[in-house]
Amino acid sequence: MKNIICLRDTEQPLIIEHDNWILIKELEDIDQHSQHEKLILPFSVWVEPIEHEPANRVKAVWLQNDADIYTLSPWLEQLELIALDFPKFTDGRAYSQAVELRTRLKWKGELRATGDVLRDQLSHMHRCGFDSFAIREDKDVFDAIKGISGISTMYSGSVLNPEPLFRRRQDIR
Amino acid sequence: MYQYDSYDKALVLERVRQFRDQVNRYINGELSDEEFMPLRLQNGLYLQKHAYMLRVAIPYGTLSANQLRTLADIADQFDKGYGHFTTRQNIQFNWIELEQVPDILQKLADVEMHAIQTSGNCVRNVTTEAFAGVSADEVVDPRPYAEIIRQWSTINPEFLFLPRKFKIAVSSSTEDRAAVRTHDIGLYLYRDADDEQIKVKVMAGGGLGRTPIISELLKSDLPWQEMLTYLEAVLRVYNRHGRRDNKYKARIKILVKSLGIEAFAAEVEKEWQNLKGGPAQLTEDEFQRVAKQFGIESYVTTDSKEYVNLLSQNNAFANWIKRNTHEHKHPDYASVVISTKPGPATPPGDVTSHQMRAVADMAEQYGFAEIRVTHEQNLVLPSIKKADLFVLWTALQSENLAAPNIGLLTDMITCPGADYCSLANAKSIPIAAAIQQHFSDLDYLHDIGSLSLNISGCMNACAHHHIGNIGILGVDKNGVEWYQITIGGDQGKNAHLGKVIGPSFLADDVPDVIDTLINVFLQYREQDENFSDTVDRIGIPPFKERVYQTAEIN
Repeated sequence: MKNIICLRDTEQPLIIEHDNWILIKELEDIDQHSQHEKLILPFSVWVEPIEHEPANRVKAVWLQNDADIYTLSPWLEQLELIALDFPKFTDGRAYSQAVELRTRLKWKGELRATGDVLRDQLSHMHRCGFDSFAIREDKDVFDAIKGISGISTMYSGSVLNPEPLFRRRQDIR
Repeated sequence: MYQYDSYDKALVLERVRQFRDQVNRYINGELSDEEFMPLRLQNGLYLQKHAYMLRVAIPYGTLSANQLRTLADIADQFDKGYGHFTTRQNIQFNWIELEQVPDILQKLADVEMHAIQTSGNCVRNVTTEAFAGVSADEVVDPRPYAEIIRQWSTINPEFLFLPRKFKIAVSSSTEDRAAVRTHDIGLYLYRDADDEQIKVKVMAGGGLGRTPIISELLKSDLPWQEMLTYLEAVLRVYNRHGRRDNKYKARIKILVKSLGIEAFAAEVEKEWQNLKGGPAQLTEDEFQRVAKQFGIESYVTTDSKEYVNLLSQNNAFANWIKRNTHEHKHPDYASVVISTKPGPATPPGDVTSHQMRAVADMAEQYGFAEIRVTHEQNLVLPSIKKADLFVLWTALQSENLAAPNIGLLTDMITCPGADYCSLANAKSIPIAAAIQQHFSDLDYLHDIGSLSLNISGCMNACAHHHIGNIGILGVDKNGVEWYQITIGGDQGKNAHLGKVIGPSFLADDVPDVIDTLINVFLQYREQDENFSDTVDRIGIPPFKERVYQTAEIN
């Protein structure tokens, strides 16, 4: 994938202009790729038996934003990466999916935002538990990275910091 | 009133810097219209018919004198010298230049104000009633609860791109003056008779617009400490399952209706089991900290003998007191309602910068420097010594702010309508003016008694026409503005929706139709019934018959 900002195992966000993951959204696209490549497969395709891609070898999955994340629970052990989808940046369902993945299913692997991923939403995504971001390909990733930090005051808790401000502040316990 | 702490200050300042950058990027072409739109909406900025409109948040309708002066300065410097108070207790400026918005927001931030989340598909300005903290019929002061929700919902990252806007109202008095049941979520605070604890009755799925629905009971006995965990559960269920294919079916009310309240409640309950008792559970310490930020007014016992004398000597004053004051929890004080609806020349809710400064001065001189905004688009001085009421009344008269019409027919709620709003199908301000003109006889208005009249310029229902005793809705038929009339609506704990009386009318006919409705009411009225009581008792047919009979004769 192109235009990646990664925050895994790093204090400062890293820009990766190309990484080795290939996002497959449609079943027919899978034939163009060999089993040696790192494929992110759509969940619906992956759970169907595929001849040259047995389910137990899949390392990464792409989940649509109307899917129930609990359907992933039997597979979490073998996965390295889960990609969630923002078909439009105004469609915020994947924020809640991300929160549920991190807080309920205790997913510790990479959680990647894909789709209409833009600078001004990155801090929200990050706080909901995303740690890599596939910036929309027509956008400048070096510009987008400025959106990671966002506004520093956070009243509510988040995946990054489950305690709300009133439990974090110094003047009260 | 609430004072910002260092966190609140830092947040609004950072937000101004962030939006200044976003505006620059939009002007430079780095952000498309589509990308910029939700960013500007979440900073209160709409693109209307003639110009940008900025909606400034007035959390639960509370302003300081200093803040009101700043609003007056903004009206003079960046608009045409006035502002429009809205049914969400906010203020709107209608003639704004995009390039100047960051400077306006900076001015607001300097006095602890902002425009964050006054629009967009996110949790909007939390509202409560205008007499919060001072009303005689209050169980507990709702403002700290509303402020806690305001903080929690501000830039809460998971809930900024919901299917649609999300409105929360809080009420804690015997009478519901916050229109709680037409909100996405409404919270009634009460003291549990068994354990003396404050509990929350959670109502869900109310809303007006195209599909008006009165909310249903979601949970009857939520401990207040779990207010945020429960709201989080509600919002997560809504964010995951609310419809996104049709913006007119995207509010939570549609989800609640399609699942049924029991199934919806079960979903929320399931989600809440994971959250209750967790880090977002509120503590007594946090509640006390927030409550302390509101400060404590020290009321003094004063002699009201002179006031009582004046009441008996001056009829005009007595009338104003009767209509425009509300019972205060302290016997020597009253809350004063300032009508923004003195007559046909003034669109309801519009207040000039000059008037704003005058009200700010009066608030400072007589009323703890505090002002409230009501959802009926009036202003309130919440705590005025009874001994000061006469001199205040005199001062208000000289500013054209002493119309004694609170709760009367001419105290109508009106949206900006097609004069300003790009969504509107029809004008509402001229209809309001024509009705004001028609009913200018004060004695007659007082005879008619309490009556709410709401005028919306389209079915988005910003003026809440469904819950007006008389509701007027502007509709467009082949380019001509028509007005549909409903009667029998009501707000409050037993809120209900009005019913359409029949085919719509042209603008010119509306005042006569209202006149006919009033005549039928006066003919059938028993004792001191209000309009809505009579409608409840005799039903729609007598009204309908007379209105359409008269229309045919014409």
